[in-house]
Amino acid sequence: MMNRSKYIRFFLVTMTMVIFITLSVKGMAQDTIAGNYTTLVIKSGLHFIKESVTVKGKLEIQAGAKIEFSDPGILVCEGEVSIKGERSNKVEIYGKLKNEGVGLVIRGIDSITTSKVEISNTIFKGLQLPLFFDFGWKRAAVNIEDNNFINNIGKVSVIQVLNPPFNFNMDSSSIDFKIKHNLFSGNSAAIYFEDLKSDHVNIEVTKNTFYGNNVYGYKNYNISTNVFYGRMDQLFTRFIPVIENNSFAFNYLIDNFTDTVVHVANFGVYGTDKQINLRNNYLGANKDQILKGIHDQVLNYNAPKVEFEPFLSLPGQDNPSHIFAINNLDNSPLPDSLKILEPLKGFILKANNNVDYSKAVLTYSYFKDDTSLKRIDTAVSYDIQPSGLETKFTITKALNSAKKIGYYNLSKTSNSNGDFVPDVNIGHNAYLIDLRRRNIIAELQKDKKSNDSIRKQSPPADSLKNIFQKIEAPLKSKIEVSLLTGGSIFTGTISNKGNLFSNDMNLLFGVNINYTLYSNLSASLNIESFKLSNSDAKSNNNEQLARGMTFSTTMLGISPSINYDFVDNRLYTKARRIRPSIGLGLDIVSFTPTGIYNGTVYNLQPLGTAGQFADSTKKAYSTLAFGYFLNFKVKYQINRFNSVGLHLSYHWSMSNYLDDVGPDPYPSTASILNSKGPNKDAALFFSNPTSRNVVGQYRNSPTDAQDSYLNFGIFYSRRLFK
Amino acid sequence: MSVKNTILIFAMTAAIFVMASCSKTVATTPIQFQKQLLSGTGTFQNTQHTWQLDSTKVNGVNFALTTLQKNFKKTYTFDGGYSDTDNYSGKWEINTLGKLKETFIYKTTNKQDSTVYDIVSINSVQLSISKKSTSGQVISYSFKIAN
Repeated sequence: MMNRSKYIRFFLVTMTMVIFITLSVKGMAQDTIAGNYTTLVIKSGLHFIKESVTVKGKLEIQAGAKIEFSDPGILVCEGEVSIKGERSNKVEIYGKLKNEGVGLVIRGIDSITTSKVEISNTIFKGLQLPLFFDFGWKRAAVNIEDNNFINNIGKVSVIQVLNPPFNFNMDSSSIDFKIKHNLFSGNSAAIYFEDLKSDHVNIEVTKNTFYGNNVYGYKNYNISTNVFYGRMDQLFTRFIPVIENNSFAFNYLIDNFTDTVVHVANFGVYGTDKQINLRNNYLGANKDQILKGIHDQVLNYNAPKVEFEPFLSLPGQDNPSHIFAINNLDNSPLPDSLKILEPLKGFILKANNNVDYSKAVLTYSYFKDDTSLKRIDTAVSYDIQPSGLETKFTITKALNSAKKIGYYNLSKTSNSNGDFVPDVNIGHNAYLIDLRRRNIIAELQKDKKSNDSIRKQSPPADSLKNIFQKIEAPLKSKIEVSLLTGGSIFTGTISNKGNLFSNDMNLLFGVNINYTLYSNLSASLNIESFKLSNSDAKSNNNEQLARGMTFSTTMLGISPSINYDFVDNRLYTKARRIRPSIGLGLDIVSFTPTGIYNGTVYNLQPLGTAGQFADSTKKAYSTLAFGYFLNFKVKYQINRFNSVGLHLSYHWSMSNYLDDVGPDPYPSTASILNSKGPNKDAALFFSNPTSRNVVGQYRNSPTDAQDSYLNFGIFYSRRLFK
Repeated sequence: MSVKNTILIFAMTAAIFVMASCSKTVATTPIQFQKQLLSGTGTFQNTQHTWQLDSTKVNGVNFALTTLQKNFKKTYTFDGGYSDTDNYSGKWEINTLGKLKETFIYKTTNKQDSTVYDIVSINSVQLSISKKSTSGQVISYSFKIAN
């Protein structure tokens, strides 16, 4: 029998072990994954990825693991990938709400030739680019099966598969690439294969459901604005893609500008081959409907023809569950463009297999009046009458929508196995068009209101007239001269836009002449000399890192501005020594972007790095640019004549070439070699410093090309005359 | 403290801070630059360069290449790895400016061998190298970038 001290010792040891195990389990169940790993096993529990994580060897994610990606979180896999959830205990890989991370990148050639990529029973949700097979990747096989790709927000791709390495052509081995029985729903981008027909990737896409995806683009329907697209080239002969028994329903092209539906967008193909086999898929109920959602030879005679006959008139029962047709109560089809002004009496939904509506919620949302954005959301009660795979919904609650446009949403449905079934929307396309109209009206009314408020404003005692009082003083006593110094940071094309202080900082010198106009208003003229420099290597954006450009330029600027002074210029009291002011002005700057090639500094403009000298229609950009800026100053008045302070100004240039990188396409090597420009070796290097394959790409985004910079520092001012 | 001293201390402190924070340019040596042109800098997506054979000269006379020969590619990785489409792999070095040494193992015989080329010219898209054959002929190879 144990004595008391033994009992106490046993109790303490047991308690210590319990606490240790509890803490360990808690630590394992919720952690942040960061840095580089040789191999990585992610077990059941919550995990976070907030930065770039690289796994050199095998990545294993076990059932029940939940991984939250926040921007710029990305998981780079250079070896085997095994993500295996269970049907009732899935793996969840999702983006943090409003700060969504990227997703998984499969890259490089694994030294273990048998390594595979296997992903099953996994939910990819709210990510920027859930799965990206980067150029030059190679594994023995890829199997993506029984997964849900839902509501991913990225507009580039949901799955993007680029080609294996160049010299892979010499290799007789191949990759079996299977995408089988997955649900793609509510995503904002497409599934893209660089080459659907290939000599080294054997593609099989079967039994998937592509439902309710909105691919973003512009008003013109083209190849890449489809939910599934790729190239078919005659160059390859070995493997023809098998795309069968898939269901495509309610996939649309959405206009980026207006957020309205443009077109049905199911499948797009291009390349030199004559045709592609898309037989035995469900693409719509009839031939006319199917043709609307395919971009092939019918729309572009250079593209292959899509052979879709015979087609499935119903999706297969073993595809992931979804509603593929919505009919009226008389079983006539409800058109996509249906405008619902009065509540429906009911509708019939057709599913591909057994859908459980017992917990379904039906809402009707409609606008309150003719023009505003006020919306009423009403839960609708209904009776359901199942008949095989068709279900008749009879709405039992009478609604008075006052003939305002609205739409129905059916959510929280699942199938008989408890799997997720995507929401059904009725009348949503017409609702989006009316929403766009109302947004424009709301913006116009907002502008009108702000104009009215200026007009109606009655002059208070402290009116503008009182604030800006004339100063009765000799002209020379209104002049103040400053010497300023500090730093400048470039924030344009070649910069880290996420973290200001990770950019280059350079020295700034300047002179300022200030003239007091009124009691609280003054005019300034700045003459500044400074340097701007930066490098894509400082960015945290992958596209910029890959671009690899650097530059340096001396700047000489003359900048008139007008400033509002918060403290009356006529006053000098010890109580008001700190004097802030804000202002805006114009810049005229001269710049000379330069770069270093093989130890020699070159002026970049005369080289024509964007092919300016290769094309007689183009000319070199001007090295004189206009701009505008906002500034902020805080002055500490030492005495009546002397003051010191801090200055900060943010400048937007009207030239996109301060860093030599404008929104131009990359010029071809041949065009630079044949151009009349000097120093072709240097021009070739600066045009594409990393020698990437950039055919058809732009050096800088045409929509976000503006250059800008921040100047800041200290100044010393002196009023020269009494 | 007098006004002059206040201004002086303020200006000195700020100037030291700004000068210390300013960016400095790190110069790349000619050898380092030649290595970067050949194989990339090692930054994101610039970890290797692939060069495709474009033309060959023997003693300055053009030597016609077959289609298969024109598909020959060499890949140099920034960390010194070498491979080509003839399935040879090994390593490369530039220890002297303009001298490229390739060391690899013949797969069929498992024998290690090395070759030193003279780099005639290199830029970001073209590479021209030459070597003297055992028979004394000067063989020049021109490559173009094929990333």
